[in-house]
Parts: sequence; structure tokens; C-alpha cells
Amino acid sequence: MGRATSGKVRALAIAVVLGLLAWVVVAAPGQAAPTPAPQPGGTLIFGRASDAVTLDPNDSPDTESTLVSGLIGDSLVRFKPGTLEVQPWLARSWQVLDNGTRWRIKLRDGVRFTDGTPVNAQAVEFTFKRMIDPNHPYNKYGKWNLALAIYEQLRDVKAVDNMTVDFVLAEPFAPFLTALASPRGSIVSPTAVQKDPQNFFKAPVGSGPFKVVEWRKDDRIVLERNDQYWEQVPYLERVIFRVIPENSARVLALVRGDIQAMIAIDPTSYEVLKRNAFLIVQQSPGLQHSYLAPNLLKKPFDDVRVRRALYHAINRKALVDNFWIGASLARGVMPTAMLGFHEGLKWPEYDPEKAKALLREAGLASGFKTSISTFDRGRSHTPEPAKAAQTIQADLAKVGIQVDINLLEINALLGDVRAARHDMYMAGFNPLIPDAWTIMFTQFDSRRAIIGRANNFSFYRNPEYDALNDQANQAANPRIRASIYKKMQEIIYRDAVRVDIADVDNVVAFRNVVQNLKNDPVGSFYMQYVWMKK
Amino acid sequence: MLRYALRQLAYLPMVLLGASLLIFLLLRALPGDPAALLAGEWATEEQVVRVRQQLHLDEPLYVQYVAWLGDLLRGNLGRSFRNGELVSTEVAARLPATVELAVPALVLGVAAGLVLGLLAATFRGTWWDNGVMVLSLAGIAVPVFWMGLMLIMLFSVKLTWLPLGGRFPAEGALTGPTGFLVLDGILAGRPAYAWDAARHLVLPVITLALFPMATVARVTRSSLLEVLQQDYIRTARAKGLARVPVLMRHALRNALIPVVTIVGISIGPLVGGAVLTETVYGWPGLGRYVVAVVIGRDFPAVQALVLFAALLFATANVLVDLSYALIDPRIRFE
Repeated sequence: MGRATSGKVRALAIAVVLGLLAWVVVAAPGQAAPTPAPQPGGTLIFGRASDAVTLDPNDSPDTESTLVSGLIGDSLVRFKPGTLEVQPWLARSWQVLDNGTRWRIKLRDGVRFTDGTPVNAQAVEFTFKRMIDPNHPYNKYGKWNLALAIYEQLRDVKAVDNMTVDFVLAEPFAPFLTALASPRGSIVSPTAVQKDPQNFFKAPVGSGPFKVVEWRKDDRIVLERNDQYWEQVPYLERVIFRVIPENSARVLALVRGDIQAMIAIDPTSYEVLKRNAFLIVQQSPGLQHSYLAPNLLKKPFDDVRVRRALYHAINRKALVDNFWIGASLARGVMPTAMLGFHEGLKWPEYDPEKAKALLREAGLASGFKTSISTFDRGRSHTPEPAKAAQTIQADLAKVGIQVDINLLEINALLGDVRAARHDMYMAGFNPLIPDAWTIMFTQFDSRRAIIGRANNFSFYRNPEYDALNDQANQAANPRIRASIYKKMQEIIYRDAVRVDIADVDNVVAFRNVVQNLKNDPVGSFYMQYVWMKK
Repeated sequence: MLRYALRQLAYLPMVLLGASLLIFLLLRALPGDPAALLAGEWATEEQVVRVRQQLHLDEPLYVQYVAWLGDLLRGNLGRSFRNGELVSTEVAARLPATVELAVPALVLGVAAGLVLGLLAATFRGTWWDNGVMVLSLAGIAVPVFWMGLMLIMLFSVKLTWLPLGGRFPAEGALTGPTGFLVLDGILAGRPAYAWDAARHLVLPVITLALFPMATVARVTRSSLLEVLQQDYIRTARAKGLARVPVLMRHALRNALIPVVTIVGISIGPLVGGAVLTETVYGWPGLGRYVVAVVIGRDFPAVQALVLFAALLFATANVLVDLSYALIDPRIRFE
């Protein structure tokens, strides 16, 4: 009774806040002007919900940290702005040797860290050894958890000469180049690490477009432009990342002009922001994706007709419209922004009658009992797991499938699904490496379907498919790889392995004085190209 | 009195030891393995094992507990699981912000609550009384985050009198001896800075003060009403004493005991309120840090903070006990 009442009070309170917010936020329209040439100067204050944990780019555990540390360092290659296409950056060129197990990288000349020391092969070796070699003298100052997962195949890094580095891999691994584009592969100044290894994470030194001036924990991180930057010297003098944890307070700060841009936009603020003429709400394809994976080791999900029936039985569009606001309906197993995405597959439509017919064909005319396991609370790729699971439960009930829902804490949940104890798993991901490999290998290959330590939560096992994965891992040519991945998507489509639900878009809102601010698929921003209209 | 005070203080380490064991075990009973959480969803089993070893979470519980207590006695709170920073450094960076917020809020809340309670009891049954009771009911019932947003909308967005959240004046942090921005601004001879810092404090302090104000007002009112029925008050009035001296000298002092008790207890809700207030106003204090480290299963940080809270609460209660004797000479601690 007490809880229900407080829930009602809270709902009422939220309704009043939103009403007032709309009243405050909607303002008179501004005037459109032709886009002038970039003007240097100014400060961009960027609002977000939480602070970075560390600014050491190599040790970044989350996107909040990477958003900042990615501006401090440069990686060897980078994503061409707005895409996932890899382009040379600190690396001038690369060569794949020894059947794909050795990558030889030539560095760009004349680049310096912001402490004045040169970016050379020794610095690259130092950077990577600090992460992967437990005996490296500076390894003990970091955790390196994500870096170790991203560079799992990396065995050794050696400076061949002053400007050439060799990366030695355990096995051929074509996505390695994409892995090098991660901010975890930003090259850091060995001199700066050696000077103060314990505190390097607070004021790291790289060769990037910005440098750290001040970090007031839980309040702001102040970055200043690197006037000596080797590529486009930033137009902005400063970028400040401010932490404003409360959603409505962050929206009000943007409306009032205390901040000029913000991320972490909740569904209700999204509508309010869109109505303000001084603000721009930009939505672009991201890489987070969610799906429902039946366990193929359990009956009746071993039958492809039953799996296809799931697709027809679940109204995916209604599901996404209601519980994945700021997202798009999934159009396949991988996010559309990813290289190798297959445009040509038309995934089964919502059609409960067809679902019933398929179930009848499979000898399950009277339906069956099963369960969905999912997260006990929202995650960025699956914002409303409980409500979404209940909606699926209702949809499936209409075709005679009775579903129990298990909401579990993330580690307990992972323990269960890795051990194949689940019937169906409603999950999502934020890809470790923004490459088709993350999905096509990690989530469907039989080598990742080992009970107890699986990432292939459908436990899909198909030797024909695995062989294609080997080919893709060895193909250094991106075009050939993309064509192999397309073939693999056709196999997954034919076998209706799982029901893909949503592609979560990246959303950023900013004041219309901010120019050229674009969210990249990985969620980062190239701030050196951003400028402010005066 | 002194003996009582010393005895109470002697209990303190025992209370803290109990609290330390409780929080140590509670944290480990929570679902969510910090090693798996830190290693990330993509980590292999080997990586999780490596993290567990790094954090010494693979050792038997009693070994972990004794090691932690040993470090604690040497003044070492340990290092954060998340970024390897000393927990003491993390806490020191945020403590001044919370103290600068919570102390004025408590003082303001108690002072305003006393005045309001006094008014309500004196003018019992009038509009004064009703007004105070409605206000105090609102102070208890209205959610902190909602009140915070309303104040922001009125004073920061519509009237633009006060800054919209944050703690620091435009020119940034000031490295002063106390860590309290207003005080440091005054000490540094920069009144404009101190003024700006104080303006940032206004809304968060009012928001946080509302709950203690409301409870103190209610308790003061009811306690005063009870005292005002007593024979000695009637005697005082019968002697011809004026109403105000009777109220202030005879009634209020005797009515204070439950009020002081409530102030001691309100340290708990104050900490809870600080979490919400800091979140609404983007105040970089300990309240928000507590939430972040609990969610992140940052054991050393959570343990240190809970112990700190236990120390605060226990000390406040000892002080409340001792203050009884000061307020009411009939109370003797023997």
C-alpha cells in the first residue's frame, strides 16, 4: 500500500515536473542563417550524467571515460568521421606479414606528444606492453580489463626501427586493424608515465587535439586545445565536460545556455528538447543492439520452424516504439552502421497466424511452456527489460506459447546463460570491437558456444558457418571480408537463429550556435572540427 | 558526567568494529561479483580470475577482513577497485563539498524549525499553527528531487536570480586552507568569489534543510504544548511573569529534550537527503560518490564510507546524550 502510494505520488510529481519543463523549455523560434566559415575560439560546455573513472585512454573502462580520453590521445588508425571505415592516423601505412599473424606498421613522421617528446616506435611498444605484459614495470598502475579483451590476440609488440613497429598475433585476426582504432590503443607519452605513473590517469599525456587542464571530480573536466596539433588544430579553445546527474536539471541547463550540448537523453526529455527551436536534437545510428536468443540446445528451439514462429509471433515494431525510444527496429543481426551489414534481407513480419501455422507444422499446435531470462534493470541497449519481456510474454501467449520471466542481476544472469541454463535470453550488446567479427564470430560461432564460458548464447553450431568465420578472420581486404560476412548473414537468416529487436541510436542535443558536432557510430565526437557561431 | 562521556566514547570503537564486520559481510553477500563487474561482460574466465587475484578477493574472508582492519588501523583506507586511486584521496576531494552543504542545511533547518514550532505552539489553533503544520507536512512528504527541480525552475530558469546547480563560481576552484569555497574566498580577501560561491549554496541548502526543519518544527510544537500544560508553567504565569519570558525561559528549555533527540537522529535522513540534493544540483560531494561506488561494487570505498557514516552517527548520538544534562540539570549520568 505504502509503496503503491509513493509510486503514484512519484508519477504525479514527474508529470508536474514535465509539464512545467515543457512550459519553460518551449521558446520562440530562432532565425535560420546561411552557414558561415568556421570561427576559431570559444568554449563548449558538454553536459552528461556521470564522470569519467580514469582519463588514461588505455585503461578506460566505460564510454564516459573514453569520451574524454579519446580527445587526449591519437591512435594508430582511426574511424573516418561519421563511419566505421578505418583510415591511417599515427600510422602512415601497414603491411600484413606471416599469414596474417604479424602486422608491420610505419609511423607518421614529426608528431609530438603535448609534453614535447616524439611519437615513435618505442612509444608505441611502451604503450602496448604497459597494457598486455604483466612484467612491464608500469603494468601494475592500471587494470587494463577492456584493453586485454580487445587485444586478446596480441602476443608481442616490437619496435623494428625508430618509426616501424611489429605487432605479433596469436592467430590471423583481420579485425585487429579496427581494434587499433579504439581509444584504448591511443599512444601515450612514456616520459609522462615514467614521471608519475600513479597519477598518470588524472592528467595523461598523448598527442591528441586536446590536453587536460583540470579535473574536478564529479563536477567537470576541462580540456584545452593543443595548439601544436599535427592535424586540424581545434577551433574551440576549451571543451568542458560537466557532470549534471539529474536528467531534468541537465535539460534546463541546456535550455538556459549554461551548457551547449548534452548526451544521456531520457525518452521524456527527448520530446521536450525536440520542441525547442534553439536546440538541435541529432539522432544517428549507433552500435548498441538488442535481441532475443532462444537456446538451441533445448527443445523445441532446435526446430527452425519454431524459431521462425517466434519472429512472426512477436510484434517487434510495437516493442521498439514503446520500450526503445531513440532506437530503430533491428534490420538484421548487426547494427546497420557496421561494415558488412546486409541490406538485402527481409526479416519475417509480425503475423500471429503464420506463427500458429508454423507451430502446427512442428507438431506444437497446443503450444508449449518456456521462459525468458533478462536483466533486472535497464541497460543502455535494453532500457526496459521487464516491460519488454512482459510484452513478448503477451505476444507469445496469443500463439499458445506460455512464458515465465526471470529477471536476474547481470552476473547471475551471465552465469546462467553461459552455462546454457536458459530457454530464451533477452540481451543486448555494445560491441567490444566495432567490427562485424564481434557479432558474427563471438555470437554465432560454435567455438564461442562452449558451455560455461559461451558468448554465443543461442548455442548455434554450424561447421559450414564456422569455416566462413575462419575465412573472414584471415581476409585482410575489407571488401572480401564484407562479402563473406554477407554470406554468413544469409545463413543466420535461413536458420532464424534469434529474434533481433532494436538498434539503439546515438542521440545528442545541442544549442544551434554549436556547429559541426557529430556523434560517431562508436559514440565519440571529433571535437577538433567543432566550432561556435558567434 | 565526564565518566559517562568517557564510557560512551569507549563504546565507540566497539560500535565501529561491529559496523565494519557488518558492512564487510553485507557487501560480500550482495549479488554481483566485483571481479566480473570490473573485468567486463566480454572478459574470459581467465581475465575474471586475474582481476579477482589482483583485488585479493580470492583469499578467505577472514584473511581479507583482518588485512582490511590492519590497514585501517594504520590509517590506510585502501585503493579504489575502479581506478586505483587512494580512497582517502577520493573522499578528501569530496568531503568539503558535502560539509559545506550539510552543516548550513542542518543549522538552518534546526533554527527555522525551532522558530516555526514555537510560533505554532504559542498560537495554537490559529492560522499560524495551521500554516506551520502544512509547511512541515510538506517538508516531510515532498520528495527532495521534486522540490529541488521546482526551486531550480523558479529561481534559476524563470527569475534567473541564482545559478543552476554546480558548486564552483565561474573562475573555477580556489585552493584554500579549508576547502570550503565561501570561507576560502573570504580568507583570500576575495569577497566577490565568496559571494558567488554562497549563491551556488542557496538552493541546495534550502532543499536539504527542509526535512530537518519540518521534523524539528513538529516535535518542538508538540513538546512545547505538553510542557505548557505543566503546573510550573501555570505557577510562573500566576506569579505574574510575562508570557514571553515564561515561554523562553521555562517552557522552551524543558521542551528541548525531544527536539535534541530528533536532531541527533536526523543525521541519517540528512545523509540520505544529501545524496538526492547533490544529484539534483550536480553538487560534487560524497553523497553521489556513495551511489557510484555501491553500484560499481567498489568494496574499499563503500567500506570506508559506511564506517565514516557509522562514526558520524555514533558521535552525534553521544553528543545528544551528553547535551541532555546541559539542557536539564535533573539528568545525571552516574
